[in-house]
Amino acid sequence: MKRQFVSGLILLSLAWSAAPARGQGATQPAPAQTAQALTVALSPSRILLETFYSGAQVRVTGTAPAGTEILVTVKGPEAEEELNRKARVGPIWINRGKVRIAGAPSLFLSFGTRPARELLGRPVLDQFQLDEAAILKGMRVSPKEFDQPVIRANFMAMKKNQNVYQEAAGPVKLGPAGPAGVPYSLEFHWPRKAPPGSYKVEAAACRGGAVEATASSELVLEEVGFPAWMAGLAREHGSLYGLLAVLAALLAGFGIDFVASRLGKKGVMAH
Amino acid sequence: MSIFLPVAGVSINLFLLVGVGALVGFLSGMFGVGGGFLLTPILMMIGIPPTVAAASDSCQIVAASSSGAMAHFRMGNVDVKLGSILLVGGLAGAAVGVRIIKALRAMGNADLVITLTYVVVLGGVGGYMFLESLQSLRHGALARKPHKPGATQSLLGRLPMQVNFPRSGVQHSIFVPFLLCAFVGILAAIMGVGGGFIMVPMMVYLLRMPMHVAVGTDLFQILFTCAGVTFMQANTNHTVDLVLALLLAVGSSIGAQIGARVGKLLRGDQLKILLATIVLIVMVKMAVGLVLTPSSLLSYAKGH
Repeated sequence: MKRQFVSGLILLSLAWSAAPARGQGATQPAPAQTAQALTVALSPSRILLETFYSGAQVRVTGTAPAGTEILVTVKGPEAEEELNRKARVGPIWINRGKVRIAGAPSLFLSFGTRPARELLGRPVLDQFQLDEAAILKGMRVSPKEFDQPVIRANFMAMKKNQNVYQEAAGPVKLGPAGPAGVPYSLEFHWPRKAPPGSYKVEAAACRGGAVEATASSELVLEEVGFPAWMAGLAREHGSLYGLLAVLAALLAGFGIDFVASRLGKKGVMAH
Repeated sequence: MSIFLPVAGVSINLFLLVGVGALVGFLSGMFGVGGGFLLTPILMMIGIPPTVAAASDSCQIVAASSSGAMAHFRMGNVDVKLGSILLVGGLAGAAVGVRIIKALRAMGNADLVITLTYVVVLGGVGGYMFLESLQSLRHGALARKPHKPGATQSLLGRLPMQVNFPRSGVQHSIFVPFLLCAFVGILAAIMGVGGGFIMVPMMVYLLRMPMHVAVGTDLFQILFTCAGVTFMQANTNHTVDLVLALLLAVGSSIGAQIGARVGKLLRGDQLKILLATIVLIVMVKMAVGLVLTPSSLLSYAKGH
């Protein structure tokens, strides 16, 4: 009886000592939660487009608050694109007018612990353009008379064919939880058709259909060395570049002809 | 082994580009056609942006045609005198053609006219050439008897400023090749191609030039036309990718040399029927593409 009384006192004192801690947690973040901030890191964060560039493998790593799920998106800058629109004239299909499409990222890749639509509610997905359905809705098509669902769907299909739009492109792997949170990582091959520029890599910690925290980093795709010099010359000194192009092509043609005629004389190339 | 193309902004396998160039160059050396009709779609298929594909294509044709023209020149297949007149006529025609296209674009009918011109011209030229060379092959030597001048030939023979073209073995008024080439230039500008497909048959059937000389002379004039186009594209649109063009050029120059030699092994009739077959295949592919419902209602603008 005495032993039971002592045990009851101990439990009461434990409950008393625990109560202020819960109270503090309700008014300000607990130290453990502050430590479990969402982070994102890229390796590499710069992809150098050199002469013999053949694509790159990109690794995204970070930590997330315990109990959240991760959605990582990679987006390129929005740019208005002008496309030919096909229409039927009698029995034949021809290009009939131009369509301009804006409001869609030049590149969209998404990776998650689960597909985006399972992690977040539709309003959140639409607000932050976090899946293809949201991009379809967010497009601005002009002229207005060409703004039809089929045009939007065809644009999306073109982007997917080019591999610059990839939804659920790969899984995000979660590691064992630690004091800093849950480590996550993903690895993917950078699309070869993505042009030079700056791309935003954003990680979202999702819980209960909402975004709890976001963190982002920038991935820069940059021309360096000979390709940078050549692209600069083409952009800024068009006439000189044009002259060089013609001369180089002539030299190549005459050079190959010279080699071929010499080989022909020696009987290497049959006449 | 991949290489990064600075203006196109993409990385492509180096050997794939040289191989594609060699295939197109082979046709160019053999038939005297630029190969633009084939190369631009292939480049777009392997991931080159359409505007860069079309402009860089012109640049590589400069290399391929210079290599092919030199090979033909050594074989005595280039009529420089007639080729120069054709070149001037072609450039004048192209200037008129560009204005026609501009007017059609303003009216909103340009693409319909371009497409129908393609099918009608390719079908007409290809069909006539195919039937004529087939008949010629069937009847052998009988069909290759000296051509009797018809009413049109007699009329052309009475035109002023008759000039002898010994390399081609023909005599024409200076106006005939000039106007003919101006007409081809207009068509080429409307269709957005170099015009080799139309030019070679015109030289053979209307100017009565031997097939091999027509091929060599056409390459000679294509060289200058495409050099002009390359310069203008680089200066105005900044879409010529020199690295891409040179890799294609290496392949196409080698291909053109082989093509010119293989072409020499074939008789004129055989060359004609092969060219006619390719022209007809392209025409049928275009005609089918016009009628079938496209997989996408959108396409990237190639530029014209």
